[in-house]
Amino acid sequence: MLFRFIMRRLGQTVIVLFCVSIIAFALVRIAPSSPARMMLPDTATDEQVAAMEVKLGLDKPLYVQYYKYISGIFHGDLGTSTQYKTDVSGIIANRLPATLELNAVAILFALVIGIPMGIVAGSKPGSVTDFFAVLFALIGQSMSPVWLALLNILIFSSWLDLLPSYGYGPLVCIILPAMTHGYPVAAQITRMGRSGMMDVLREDYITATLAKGISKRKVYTKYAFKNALIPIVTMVGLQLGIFMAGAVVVETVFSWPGLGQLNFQAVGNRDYALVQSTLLVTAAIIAVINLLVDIINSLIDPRITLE
Amino acid sequence: MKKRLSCICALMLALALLLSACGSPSAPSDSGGDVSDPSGDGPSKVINIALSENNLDLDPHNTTTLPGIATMYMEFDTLVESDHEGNYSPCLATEWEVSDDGLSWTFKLREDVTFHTGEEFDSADVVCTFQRHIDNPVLSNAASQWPYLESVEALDKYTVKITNSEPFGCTLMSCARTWIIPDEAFAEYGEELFTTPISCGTGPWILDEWVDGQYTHFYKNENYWGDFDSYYDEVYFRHILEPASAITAHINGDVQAYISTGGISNELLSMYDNASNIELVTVESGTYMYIGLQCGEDSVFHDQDVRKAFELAIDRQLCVDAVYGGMGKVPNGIIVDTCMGYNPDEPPYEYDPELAAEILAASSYDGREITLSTNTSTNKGEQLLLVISEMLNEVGFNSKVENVESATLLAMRTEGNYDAFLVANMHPDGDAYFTLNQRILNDIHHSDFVSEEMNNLILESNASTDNAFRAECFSQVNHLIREANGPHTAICQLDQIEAIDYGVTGLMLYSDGYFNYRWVTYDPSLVP
Repeated sequence: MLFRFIMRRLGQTVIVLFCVSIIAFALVRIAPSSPARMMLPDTATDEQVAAMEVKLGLDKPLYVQYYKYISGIFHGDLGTSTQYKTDVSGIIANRLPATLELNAVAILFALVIGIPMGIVAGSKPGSVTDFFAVLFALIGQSMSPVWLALLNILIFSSWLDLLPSYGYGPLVCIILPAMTHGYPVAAQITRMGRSGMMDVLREDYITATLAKGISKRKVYTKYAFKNALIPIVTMVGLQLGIFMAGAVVVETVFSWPGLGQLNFQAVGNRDYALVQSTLLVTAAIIAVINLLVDIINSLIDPRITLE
Repeated sequence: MKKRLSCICALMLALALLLSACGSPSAPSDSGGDVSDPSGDGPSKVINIALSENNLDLDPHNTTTLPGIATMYMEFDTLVESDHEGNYSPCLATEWEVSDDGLSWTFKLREDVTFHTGEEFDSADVVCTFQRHIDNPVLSNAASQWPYLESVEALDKYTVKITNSEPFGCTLMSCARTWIIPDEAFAEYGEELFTTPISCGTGPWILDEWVDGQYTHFYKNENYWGDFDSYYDEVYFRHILEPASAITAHINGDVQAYISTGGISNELLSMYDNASNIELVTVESGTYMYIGLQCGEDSVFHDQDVRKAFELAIDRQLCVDAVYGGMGKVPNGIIVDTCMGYNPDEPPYEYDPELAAEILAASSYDGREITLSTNTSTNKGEQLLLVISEMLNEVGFNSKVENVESATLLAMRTEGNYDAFLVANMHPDGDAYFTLNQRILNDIHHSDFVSEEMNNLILESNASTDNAFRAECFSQVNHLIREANGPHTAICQLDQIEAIDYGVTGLMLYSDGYFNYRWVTYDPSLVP
């Protein structure tokens, strides 16, 4: 069953990626200016720009350009970046690990902080713990990532001198970007966990279990927690898509050399091949993550079938 | 179930830690973060310089970003060296002469130079370099620096002749921006020479590694032909895009200098208040902000009275004070005081809102909305235009401000699709050739402003290699622009402030906005 499910989802993914390739191809071309204009000094004449367009193949009809791009993908060729003048696949391969690393650590941070906080708050509504959990969630969901990033730099790098304000490599470098990136999701998990726990605790089967004399701790951890976890996993899966996109801000502020920063730069330089390919790779990653979330959900709750 | 959950959690934790551990060792603390030299005589022999932009490529003839150009200064040499104020001194060429018709330039070359690849430098390398420009006119350096390059030939092993199709007064300036590549390595690798980490220049620093989005690393060329010997053994350019991150890293000692394109914003300078080991260096930059006006027949600025009212309505000094914290000055035209042809006797811009209102009321202006456009890359462009828009509306204009991304504004300008735009400009090497030729004579921004007198002066300056005469031409063009109140009106000329540790010297911050770090070294006598 699992194999059939995966194959069906992969088929759907191919259709999604095909649509993404068309949208990305069209979007970058709708934007004003062109790679030829951006590659040359702003004093370049129209003739020089036209010559560069011929060199880049941008003088060809759009369907020819699209066919060339899509057929290249099937041969493992994502094109050549106009700003880097090298293969796009190599550039993405260099940048992708940093983005995956940041997202993995950030989501881990969000889960480690958000789940216990949400569960504890939901178990004791109205308590001091609940108040602080709600405050934590409210701040996390209302604060702009840019502001949060700068605040973190100010506190942890500038005032306390505990963590580096930029850089990529040793574990210590990832703490601030991951904290900044993960906080909004931790806030959302906290709220979801809190409300989920409160709902579950009102269920009849929980009352019945408590009436049977089973300890509160066991009821909460064994019965309530598991059920409160399902919407969190689904939400985290959905958030990961936004997570990949939101990495632009964090990667730029902390000079984290990931795909978000690359894509932002590529859009500014009208680097068609790079923009198209980073969007395609990001879409593929999100599709795979969604597939994994579905499988994880079925593992957590046997009532959810892959069919 | 418990097992499943534990497995999932363990897998996620392992994945996160594995990915983190796989990161390349490029954190600020891995090099240069330690403050002392192992010998104990001074600071670390590794210097980290934070730059506010990313490096994008290593092709010496195709790079357009300031970090890219700074990288080329480290790795390569040129035939002549510029002081960025219009003066040139020998570098790989020891002497030169220009033919009587101003078309051919003959250069005598040094005989004791070796490339980082081990190849000996001679005229074949110069021919290879310039031939690449001729064969590939869309290289950014060819497009921007060599509009008339026709041929290059080796007269002997150490003499070359470069010929332009028209007399070109900026030949030396262009030579100072054309980095010489080795012909044998280029023949072997072709364009890949610049996409693989092969250091192929003759400069004082050997390129070791460029890691996209992170850093560019150089080590000292012990066989450099010049007599320069830096205190430092290694230089890192750290590409830190966010100013607050860079300044924090600087204050914490992770980097020893922070050079921001256009200078550090005045609002952020207070972060350095307690950093007693860091000097804030002020460069009286030639970078100026100007507004380009659309003067076509359908535009409100076709009428000179409207342009005049526009100029009179702007309190430029207030702009400098309110927007840039007083860190700049008001120029008297687009030929600013760091540029050849600057005329101190040219009268300053007047600010007279009452006269502006009077002239505007009597002009053809019909009250239609004017959009003042700028881009997100222009230093406080939006704030500046908001202030200007207020001033314009006070005298009767109906203006609004739009802030678009750089590529969009570029497209608008090249199509002439604007009312007025604000951008920063500078005159490379203090020579207005490119500004006047491209923006006035060739009107690449389609202002549709035509002045035969201006164009003739520019053409006359182009045909001369006599800098005194060219300076006079530039000065007269500036005067004509002032008289015509367009198509450009200068707003302010900005100071540039950068932060450098005391003792670090040789970071050349030129008045034309370019950076050159090849002479970086450490001098303990400069530490207070």
